[in-house]
Amino acid sequence: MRLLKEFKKNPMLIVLLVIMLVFMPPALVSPGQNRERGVVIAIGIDKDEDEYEISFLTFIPTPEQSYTQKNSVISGKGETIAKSLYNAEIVMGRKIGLSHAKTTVVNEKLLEDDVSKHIDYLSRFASLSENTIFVCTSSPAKEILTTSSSLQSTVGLQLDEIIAYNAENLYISDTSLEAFYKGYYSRSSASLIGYLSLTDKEGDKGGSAQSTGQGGSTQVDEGSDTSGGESGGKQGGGSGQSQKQITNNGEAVLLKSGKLVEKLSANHLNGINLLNRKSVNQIVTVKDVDYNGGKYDFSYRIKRKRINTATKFQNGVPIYSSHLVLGLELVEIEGEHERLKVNTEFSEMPPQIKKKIDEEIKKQFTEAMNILRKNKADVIGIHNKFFRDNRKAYKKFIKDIKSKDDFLDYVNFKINLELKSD
Amino acid sequence: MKNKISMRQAGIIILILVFSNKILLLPALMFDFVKGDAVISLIIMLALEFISLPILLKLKSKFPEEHLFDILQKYLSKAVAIIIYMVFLFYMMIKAILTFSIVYVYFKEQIYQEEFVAIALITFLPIMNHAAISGLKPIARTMELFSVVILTGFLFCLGIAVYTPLSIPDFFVASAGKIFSSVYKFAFPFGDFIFLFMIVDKIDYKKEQEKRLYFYTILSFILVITLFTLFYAKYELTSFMHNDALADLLAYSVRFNAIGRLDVIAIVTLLLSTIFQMEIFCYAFCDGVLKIFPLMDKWYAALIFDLLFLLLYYLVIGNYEVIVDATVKYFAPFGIFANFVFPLIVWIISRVKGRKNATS
Repeated sequence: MRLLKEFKKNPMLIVLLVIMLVFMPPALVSPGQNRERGVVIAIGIDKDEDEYEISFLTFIPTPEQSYTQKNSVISGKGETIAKSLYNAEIVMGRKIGLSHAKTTVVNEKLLEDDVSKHIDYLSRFASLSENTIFVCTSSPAKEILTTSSSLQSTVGLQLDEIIAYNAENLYISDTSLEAFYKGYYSRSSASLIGYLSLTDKEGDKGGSAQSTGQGGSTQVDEGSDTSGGESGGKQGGGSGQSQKQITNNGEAVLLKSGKLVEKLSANHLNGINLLNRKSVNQIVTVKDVDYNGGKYDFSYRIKRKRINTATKFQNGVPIYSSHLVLGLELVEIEGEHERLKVNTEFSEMPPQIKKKIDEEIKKQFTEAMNILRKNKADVIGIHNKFFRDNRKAYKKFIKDIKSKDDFLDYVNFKINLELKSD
Repeated sequence: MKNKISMRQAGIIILILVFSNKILLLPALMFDFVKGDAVISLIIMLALEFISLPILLKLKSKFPEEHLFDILQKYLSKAVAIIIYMVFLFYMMIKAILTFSIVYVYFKEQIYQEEFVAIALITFLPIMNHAAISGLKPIARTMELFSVVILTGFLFCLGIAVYTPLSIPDFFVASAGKIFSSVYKFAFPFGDFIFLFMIVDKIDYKKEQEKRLYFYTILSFILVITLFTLFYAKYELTSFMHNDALADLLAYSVRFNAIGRLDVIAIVTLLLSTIFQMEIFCYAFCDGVLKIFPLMDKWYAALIFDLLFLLLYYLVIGNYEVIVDATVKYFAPFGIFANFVFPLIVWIISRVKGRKNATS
């Protein structure tokens, strides 16, 4: 009776009781979340003629005393992404949660068509977060996941960490799904995403990195027989036999309206990023420079960058002029001298070195611009700069030309470099 | 003094009400319509809404102890007062459903993917009813207590966004006509001062404390404008893809990935502010019902709210998209009425009363 009186006095107690009755019994009898849901940490999407294959690098939480993480690659095939995901869920025996997916790898073939069509279901409906790192590969995406799984177990390096380095130092923007969409919906519908490839362990490791002298990095994997096993659309995946390695040369791919139009080397990326003040640390090498009676190869690191940019329309021509102050640090000298004192004899930057560096940087920029012009892909934001600074003239100019995509062809770049020894 | 709220509490109520329906979905919807000029539309709406505040204070000074319903009845006849109150009831009900729908979808996506709406209703409705039955003072006191948490959470979300890559949004890209049509189209989520008009008799008015009310109003406006601006600066062209503005200021930043799910801060902020907003809508509805039907018990008023809420939600609305679409397409006039027409009516009444006093 006292209890009833208490309930009458405080009707919220009844509410509390009802809530407990509704929530507690199902919570007690239902299985744990890890039994119902599989946590996906990376996604790979492949496509052959008429079928998608979607692969998941999954992490199934199991109570253990050690910190080791059990990963496995699971895949499903289907005519659509939704169907493939459904089939993968059947293989896994769990619902798939994509909110923890840090990396999404798509096979090059998907980029032959507008890739946004393929990933629409994942990002819009299946809760794939837009901050997932979005990269492209020439190899089957499934194999990349399998290899990355063992990369993690052997050297503790995750795929997203490798790409995050590229994003910070080469692309100078996130290579995320969000960044892809930002480019996709921009005035020139152009985006830039990271590029990885898979090679046999004995294969060519240096790739373009050696030829460009940019010191591309190569991540080595010791095999791919960790937790997968079976392949072919069932649990597990990957070759299981041959030893593969993920090759990261700092390359990227240029997309126009979601389609792959050009592969870009690290050098191209440096050219593209010349006008990006955040982009520093690149190495510029000039060879066979006459200095103090000898010939040397000099390598400088761009330590700091200051940029003043102005845009205008002069006689109906869009002019993009930029004054760059680059603080360069001499990091390496190759020549006849064996014991060179960097801080004394070479602390000054003589005019012949400045001239060569000027030429080298402008050459990189011109090459990069030629690629962007050829593909009508403004990933630098030239359109935006003109729009913001000279809106009226820009709009008029766009009206007068055949297509706004041609705008880059008309822009006259005036780059003035001021090189300082740092 | 009994059952009256202080000017500070009234300010906190308006602070939390201004957040309702504006900090999750609205920035994306407005961007889709007028791009970065949504900030200009927002400033216009808030500036117009701000005019309600001196009108409210004037009304309070002219009618210190009278309920809004009684004032309307006295000057516009009982029938008109009932019609206006019926509009208010509908407005509050739709606002409650809209707030619930948007926040429910957000929570479902973020944490309760397996849950169904009934579970959310079981937890929300009793709290709202309890608040409505307990009265305005307990609601205001609880809000006062939690306002620090809500404000801290909100500022934290804005603060984190500042440390992520931002770019200046493009303004004046839409025509003036489009900007003003967006003011009309998205008028429904505004007009929050209506609630203060409805409780005008319960505010413990002190002339010297008017600045408190102004302070909280301006603070809330600045916070919402900052949220919109940062959101557009962060997402630029993809703003229309992000339906959870406050939470998305924290998420999708590679830089903060190491910390993990930072959006928990946004979740707590949203949960607390939503509970209070829903309590206010429920209270306003019940208060209105009791004025139209003075013999009715407040328990029954709460029961009517629940039944109507459930009926509308299940039978008419059904899902989130329907209610959002309806508020943009069909309910905009209600927003215009609440935001502009009604304050104008009140201003005229206050002037008439002022003249009467002067002649007598």
